[in-house]
Amino acid sequence: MLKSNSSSSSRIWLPAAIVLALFIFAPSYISAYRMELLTIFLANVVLAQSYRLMTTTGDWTLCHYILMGMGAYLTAILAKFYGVPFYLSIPLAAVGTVGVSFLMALPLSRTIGFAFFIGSFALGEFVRHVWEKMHFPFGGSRGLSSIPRPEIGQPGDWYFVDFNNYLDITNFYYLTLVFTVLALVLLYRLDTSRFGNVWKSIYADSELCESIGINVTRYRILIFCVAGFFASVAGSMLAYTWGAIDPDNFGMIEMVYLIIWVVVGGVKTYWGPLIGVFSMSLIFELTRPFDEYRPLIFGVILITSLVFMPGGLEVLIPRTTQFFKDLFGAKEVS
Amino acid sequence: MGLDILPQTIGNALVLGSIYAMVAVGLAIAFGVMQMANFSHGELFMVGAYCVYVLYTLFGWPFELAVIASFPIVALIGVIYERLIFRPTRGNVLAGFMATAGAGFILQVLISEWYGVGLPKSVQVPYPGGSDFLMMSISWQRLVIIPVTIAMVWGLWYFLTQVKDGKALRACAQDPEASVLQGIKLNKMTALAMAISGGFAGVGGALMAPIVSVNPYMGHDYAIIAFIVVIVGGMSSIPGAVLAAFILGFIHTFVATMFDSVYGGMIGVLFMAIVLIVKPTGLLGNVKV
Amino acid sequence: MSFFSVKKLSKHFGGLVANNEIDLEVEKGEIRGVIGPNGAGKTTFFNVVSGFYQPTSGTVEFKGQMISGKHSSEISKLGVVRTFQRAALFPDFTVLENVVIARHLRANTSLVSAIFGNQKKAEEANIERATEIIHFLGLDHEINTLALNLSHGHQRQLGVAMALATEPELLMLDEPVAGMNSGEKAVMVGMIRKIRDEWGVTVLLVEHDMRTVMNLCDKITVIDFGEKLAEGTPDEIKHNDKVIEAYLGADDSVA
Repeated sequence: MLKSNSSSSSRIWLPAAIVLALFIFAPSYISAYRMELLTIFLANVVLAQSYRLMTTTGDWTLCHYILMGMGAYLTAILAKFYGVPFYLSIPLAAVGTVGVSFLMALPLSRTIGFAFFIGSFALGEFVRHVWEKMHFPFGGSRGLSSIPRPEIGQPGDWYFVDFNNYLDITNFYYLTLVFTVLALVLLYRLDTSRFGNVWKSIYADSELCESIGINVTRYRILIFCVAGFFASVAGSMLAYTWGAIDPDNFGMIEMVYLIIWVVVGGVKTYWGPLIGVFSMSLIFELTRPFDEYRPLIFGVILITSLVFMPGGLEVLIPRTTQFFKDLFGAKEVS
Repeated sequence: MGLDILPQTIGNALVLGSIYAMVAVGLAIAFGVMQMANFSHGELFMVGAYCVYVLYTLFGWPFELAVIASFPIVALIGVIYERLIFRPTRGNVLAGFMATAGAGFILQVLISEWYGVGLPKSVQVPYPGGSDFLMMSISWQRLVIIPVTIAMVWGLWYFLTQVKDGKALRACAQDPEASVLQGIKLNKMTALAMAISGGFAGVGGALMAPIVSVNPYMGHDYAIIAFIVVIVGGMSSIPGAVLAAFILGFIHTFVATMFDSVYGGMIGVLFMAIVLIVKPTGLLGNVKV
Repeated sequence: MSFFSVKKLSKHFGGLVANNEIDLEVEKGEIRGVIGPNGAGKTTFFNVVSGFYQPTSGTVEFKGQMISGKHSSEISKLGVVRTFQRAALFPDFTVLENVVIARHLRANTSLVSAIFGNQKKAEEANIERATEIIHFLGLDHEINTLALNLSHGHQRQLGVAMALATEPELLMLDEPVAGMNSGEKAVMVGMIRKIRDEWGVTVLLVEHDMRTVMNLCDKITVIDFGEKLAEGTPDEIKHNDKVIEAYLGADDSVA
């Protein structure tokens, strides 16, 4: 199969399985509060991975968080006002977000690089203004609250989820874990598919792509929409976790944090953003005692990362694997 | 809208346009010379406002002196940006841009720590009272902004066309390679551009200090607007920035007066998206510095 | 209906007239060369005709269909494919992978089948055809080399291989022997001839190197100052006074 040098797929499955097992057994050992944090972490992982997908063609956007917000809002509206169950509200919200993404991508695809970046910011801000202005259905500047948690099955059924029960949080966590794994697998398959190769080729040499018949504009619009789809899923999960959302949840600061995760982790390999979200979430929790200084700390991290290690932490993966290989004297497998 | 408030609205639009011009011109010149895009340009504006708060309100300096002092202070910060962020990321516009987002966080935290977040600071109005200048009833404090802006933009034009370093700056913006071959020091030019960029943003903030509430996050909106202005006017064009600043000032003021300010913001952003689609180089995009 | 015809093609850049009402007709199976002194407008002509620039006026028709004004990727899909003077390839992929990617033009998978489906069969067919093309061009010994590690000559050959992977009917070559030594040039010339002789691909090339063009082309069109100066067989062109004057200045010797 077609492989490029930038993915080191096969050998990562064992560590990934271990990590997955950790996540599956976590709830037995941690508090409800921590579990909520983990749920948010999972949503952020999906978000970061979807942003990485977006940047495959070299197009970085400043509206990705807004797309996630769109998913959150649509899910909240469907769940709160129309009682739509989660297995419909999440996909429907994603479809809606794809529609919005498409409308945004149409004008944006006429620009590249910095103009694209700023343009995406402008359109994102426009959407945020819409949320602020429209009291129905977005709740205006106060947003939407009392978003009901997902329910599975009927009352009395063995899967029924009850509001004040500790298990509620655990079941919801597992639900999020299922969605996260699904999303990550899909994103991985996309990355290694023919589409992934076309997108990477566009980044490498878009003129060449045009000459072999690839309509670059169409593919750029496509990737924008697909990335929006997954961002929406992350947003849906966050809406259910938080229970209340308002336009300030999806502002520039949050977008910058997303960029920090992805820049620190790196985007060349599939695993980069995961490293980024993990390390930055860790630092985020560790700095809780000094939370007024947090933005400063992250500002320094971002600057240092861009100036000294623009490839991101993922460049350390081959070095680390090599280190362990040498340590255990493993034979060179090609 | 009744005709009686028309002169006033025009006056307010001119004032707003002037502030937008102050902030946007700095951005245009930095981008024109080596594509330095500053995500935290609004924070430079904010620091300028705090200069006035500290020097005028806390230390009791005369207002005019505080405003003048804000230029070199924020210009210095601009130079630090150039040295620590833009020079190492030269060639990669996005990287520099994102790094300045980090710098903005740093400035916000520093200011919050030194002067507290809590209640926004208020700066006494040095020129109290309203005027009835040309039938526009606008406070003197706001009115004063227009001549200051005109003076500074004219000063910049003079610098760029008559002064040796200014002409070198323009040469650099048009063709950095050729300029270097002519003996112009690129690093000096980028530092100079960022100094001007910071200085203008700082003075803009200083002038606005008595008018708006002073807090560490006040620059956010102005940064967004500055970018809209610069995109509409043409990324590296100073005349474009000035023109677009006034257009946007008018749009914002009139829509805010007739409807409300959020719609004003929305229309501004929509206008920017339209310009990006129809003429991505901006209104005066081909006119360089 | 002519195979490929350019009618009164003009391209202006602001006040500068780069191409002025150029006519050109290429027959199926021909190898046509377009030459001219530096700054004559050949490159502009090439870019307009392949869809990378839009013409100011005039038309380009391929097999009776108007292709001027179409997007370059669409023109490629119709069977008119160009190569680049620069090394246009995907540096991190091997020669084989590069050619396989180029075949995606003819592939027709949807997004859903890309995620869920089994793409093995289509992929195998692509790899087979790609290997065939690489063999045909004599690049087998480099088939698994990373594109960025190839010599300049081989990189240009890879460019041609990628263009061929799209199964073009008309292949447009942008200065195919630029920057090559005489050995590499001979290989490229042989390759181009083979492409026409054995696979029936029509070739239109823009080139500087007189000897190569005289050697290789059935017919030559000469452009100077943005206009068509002369057209004919290599022999006719060799003895054309206007051409000699354009290249050597108004004087005596024959090329």
